[in-house]
Amino acid sequence: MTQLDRLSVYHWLNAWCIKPVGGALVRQEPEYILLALMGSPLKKIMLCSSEKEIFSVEEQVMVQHSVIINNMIEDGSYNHEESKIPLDCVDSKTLKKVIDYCTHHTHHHNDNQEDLEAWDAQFLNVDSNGLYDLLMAANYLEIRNLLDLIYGTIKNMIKGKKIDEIRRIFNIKDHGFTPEEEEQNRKEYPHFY
Amino acid sequence: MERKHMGMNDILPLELIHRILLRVPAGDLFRLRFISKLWHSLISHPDFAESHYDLNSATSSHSHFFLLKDDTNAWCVQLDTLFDVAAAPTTHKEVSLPSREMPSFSCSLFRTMGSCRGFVLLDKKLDFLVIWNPLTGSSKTISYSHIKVPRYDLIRYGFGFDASRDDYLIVLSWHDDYNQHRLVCFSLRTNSWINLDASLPKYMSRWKYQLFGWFLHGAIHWLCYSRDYIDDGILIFDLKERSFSKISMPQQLVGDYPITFTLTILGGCLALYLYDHDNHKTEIWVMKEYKVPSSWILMYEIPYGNNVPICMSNGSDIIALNYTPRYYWLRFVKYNVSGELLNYSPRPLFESDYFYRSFCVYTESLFPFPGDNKDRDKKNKTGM
Repeated sequence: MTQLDRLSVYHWLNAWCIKPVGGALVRQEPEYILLALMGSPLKKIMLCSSEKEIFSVEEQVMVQHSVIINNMIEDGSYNHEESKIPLDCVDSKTLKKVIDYCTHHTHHHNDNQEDLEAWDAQFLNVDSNGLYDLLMAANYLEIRNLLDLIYGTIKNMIKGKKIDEIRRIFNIKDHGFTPEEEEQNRKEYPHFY
Repeated sequence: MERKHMGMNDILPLELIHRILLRVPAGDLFRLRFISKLWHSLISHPDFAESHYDLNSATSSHSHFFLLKDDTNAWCVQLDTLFDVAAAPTTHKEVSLPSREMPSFSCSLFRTMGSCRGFVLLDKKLDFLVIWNPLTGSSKTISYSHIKVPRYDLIRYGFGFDASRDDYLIVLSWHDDYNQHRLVCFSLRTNSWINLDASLPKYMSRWKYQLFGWFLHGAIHWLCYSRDYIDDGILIFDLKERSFSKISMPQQLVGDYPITFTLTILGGCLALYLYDHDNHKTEIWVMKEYKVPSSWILMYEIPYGNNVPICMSNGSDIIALNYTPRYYWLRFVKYNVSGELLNYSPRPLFESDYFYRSFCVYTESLFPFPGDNKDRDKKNKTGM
């Protein structure tokens, strides 16, 4: 069975959580049913944040979303038994959020568009710094849909706004123009500011 | 520096800021150059306009509708937020046409002759042309009063971009006093006229009435008659090869002379629309695969006439300009593939009695004129 099939079966079993035992139907943990059917456990991988905190997450979830992690697993450089994937540029708080995003999108990929968008909106309800951290993490791990989501959000924060407000939102204190240049710009295009 | 004192420019790497800016609409980018020196250099970089255009031109978010109001002003309407009531204040804006550098001897008003890569071509009949980017404001005026056209003949216009030479070309065609078919083009990069009489195909007799051609895939397209009037076709002038070819109309339309059809571009494909008087509907045919005549399909049948298709929206809906004859009230309407009316703007949105010659659809861009970057850098150094 391919990896993807296993995941589908996992979800199906998760929904039912039943297993026949001696003629009766008994509730079981999906992992064990899968184990019984497939003969191998649902793989988990270890991600290690810059603060040396370890997060255990389903391999499938990360492989589906992160090109970097997918490549590591495919080319065999990751050993399930012993290794953890060190992510030195991602702190614990951000890594937890990234895992949260990937897990939700894997488990809820059949949800309707509106519900997913609503979840994404509340997921990105963070301050600017949190947003930058998420963007950099998504870029590092190459998570396409999260990247597009964040680009879209930042684009909407910029769209239609004047210069002074954008500088405030993104905390751009030193604009780099000389006082003469800045004054000239403001005089020439007052409606931009 | 402590985290809370840092801003986007300090935290995010250059590459990510660049990618964010590539996704911001062109209309905002023009203003964003003044956010900071860093953003200015990213946006003004010679390659940025091209990357941005490539990434965004396909999406409808950059389609704008341009309508001349009079000889000094025009309206620019953003088409993707057209029916979004919340966005209303920002969707329509009035712009001033570039000021005239030369006196005009023509008593006619400006006409629009199409658009290409964010530039709109305006024409003062038999006098001069203006290429203008409404977003950046750059414009160039080109006189063509030296071209003498017999009294009742017309000049056909075409405007396009030759990627192989990084040049914008304006193509003009007419029949001269000796009834010889003439073809010239103006090259923006070399600022000179080039005679192209030799490129004219032998099989072509007369062009159809439509005044200007449409630029697509590196070529300009016009509707034309064939020598014996048996099959109309679409004439294609490749700007790189400077040669003509022809593709045929939908088979079902051949020979239907009482019906006038008009060429346009919808959703990146060549399209023909015609008003069927007998059945009171507007038919829109789309050539789904470029240069493949068998791929012509009747994609839309919109009830009633007085609808000029403008652009596609959401992949398959069509936005059209609806006009009320006699009053020349204009407004926009949106239909889906089944011909159902999805949305419409209040009437009248605009009033214009010469609107046939005064509107076009363009995509906002930050492109400068070819060879202009040197001037731009000079300007940057003096604190622009």
